[in-house]
Amino acid sequence: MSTSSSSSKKIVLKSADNETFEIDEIVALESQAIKNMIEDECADNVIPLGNIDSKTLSKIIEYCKKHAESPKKDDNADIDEKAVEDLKSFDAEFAKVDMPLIQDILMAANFLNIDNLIGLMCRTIADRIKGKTPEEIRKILNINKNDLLSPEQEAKAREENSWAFD
Amino acid sequence: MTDVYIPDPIVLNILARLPAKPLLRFRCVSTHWNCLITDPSFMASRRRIFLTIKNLHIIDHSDTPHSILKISYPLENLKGKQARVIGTFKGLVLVLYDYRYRKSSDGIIILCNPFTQMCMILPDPPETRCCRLAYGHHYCHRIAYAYGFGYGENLDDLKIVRFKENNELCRYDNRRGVCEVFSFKKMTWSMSQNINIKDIKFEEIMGKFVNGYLYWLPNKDSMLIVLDVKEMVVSELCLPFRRPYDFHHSTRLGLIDGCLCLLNKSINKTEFDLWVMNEKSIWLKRCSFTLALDLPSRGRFHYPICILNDGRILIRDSNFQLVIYDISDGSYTLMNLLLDYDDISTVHGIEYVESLVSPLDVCLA
Repeated sequence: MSTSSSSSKKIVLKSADNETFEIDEIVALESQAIKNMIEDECADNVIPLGNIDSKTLSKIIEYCKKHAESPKKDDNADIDEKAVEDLKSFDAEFAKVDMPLIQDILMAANFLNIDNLIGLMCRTIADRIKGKTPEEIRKILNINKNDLLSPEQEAKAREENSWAFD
Repeated sequence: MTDVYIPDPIVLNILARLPAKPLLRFRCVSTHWNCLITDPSFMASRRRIFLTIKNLHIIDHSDTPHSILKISYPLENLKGKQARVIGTFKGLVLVLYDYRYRKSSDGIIILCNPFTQMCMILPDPPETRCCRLAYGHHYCHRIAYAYGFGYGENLDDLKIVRFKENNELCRYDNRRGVCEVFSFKKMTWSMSQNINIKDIKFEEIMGKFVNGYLYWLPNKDSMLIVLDVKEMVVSELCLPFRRPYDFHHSTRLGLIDGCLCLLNKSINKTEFDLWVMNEKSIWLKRCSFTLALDLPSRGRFHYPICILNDGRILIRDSNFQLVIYDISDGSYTLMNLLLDYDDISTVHGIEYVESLVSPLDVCLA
């Protein structure tokens, strides 16, 4: 498998705000959804991504580029420890963005089916919300305010796991 | 785009990564979240490894990087004492503290829920310090018991089973080989009259519970000891291979997809065979593999700690590191936990499923 960028095929992605991104096919293949489209030969010219804005899409491409370039575990039994560490620190840096963007990236990664990125974003959200109160969670994650527990239900949840509310 | 409703699989993916406290607190976020969190199938997806070394640890191996949590319960005064896991049931873990740390008895058995951190001390087993009388203080730690934790016909029939091993140091003890049973329904220990395993010594003293039966690995012969937990009848089951006579700790029992399995190190000490027993009690060889960790020549020092339900294996490698090894593709994840040389023989683990079940629910059933 070659990762050289000069010879490989290009794929063009178009964001919701009509910005186009030309990327190597190998980078696009990080997305299972695009991979399926390419395999089904329905990705001829431009792939329109009507629900992903350019800011989110460029972040996603940044992620896919790095992960496509990085040696895969099954390529070589002697996994370069440095490469693994490098990817880890890239992921950590990548996730240092504000919560709305995290959620946009997560939704887009979900749509494009990029498993590692979904995991990274979910983990990031879990880390950021674990110290918060239910009220704060509703705000951060835009939870439907008409879906609150009744006072009885809330009392029951608190009573059953009172130790968790200390 | 932040107004977009987050789909359930994503919410569950986030929730699955939360520790117990925030998770339970977030039941109050919305009725929908309350439903998701209290759904038994969600909890059942939260598998963890309970690891005893000097202290107790919980490993979350469902996520990468795997996280390790050191815990200070169940009892503060037992911290750092030698503990072993006997078994697990509905998210509860049965932990045995070695009797050496308690003069009055053989040990303390604790039932705890690592998720809710609730725990309870079970009544002591009957006193059986025969060897101390026969041989004096020096040998008293050589009394060995084999333990099992499981249920018979239904969940109400939950019990702890304990065999007193036939140890040469106990040869004058006429109670060797006897079987004691703790019933959770009655909350008492009693002697099981029909069972005696006088001539059996155990290699692995903690039995594996699968579908109404407990299995132990004796330290010689190519067989397993099987206890029908409902009928309380002991039988033997042939292993699918011959075990080398003098090669200890070469075989490990476990569960894969809810079936009993055997991991056996080959004579050359670097290759492993994985056997799984099907519902007709027939052994099928799942695969053979060589652990591709660091230098192959050192593979013989890799030591499997526990087999996980999804077929991965928790291993202590030759550098005393904990590793989770995936047989299917040879990939592995190093855990951020380095063992001391002293820990080699004392590290044990069991995989359990998190739950909200309280130890009291089981004891008062």
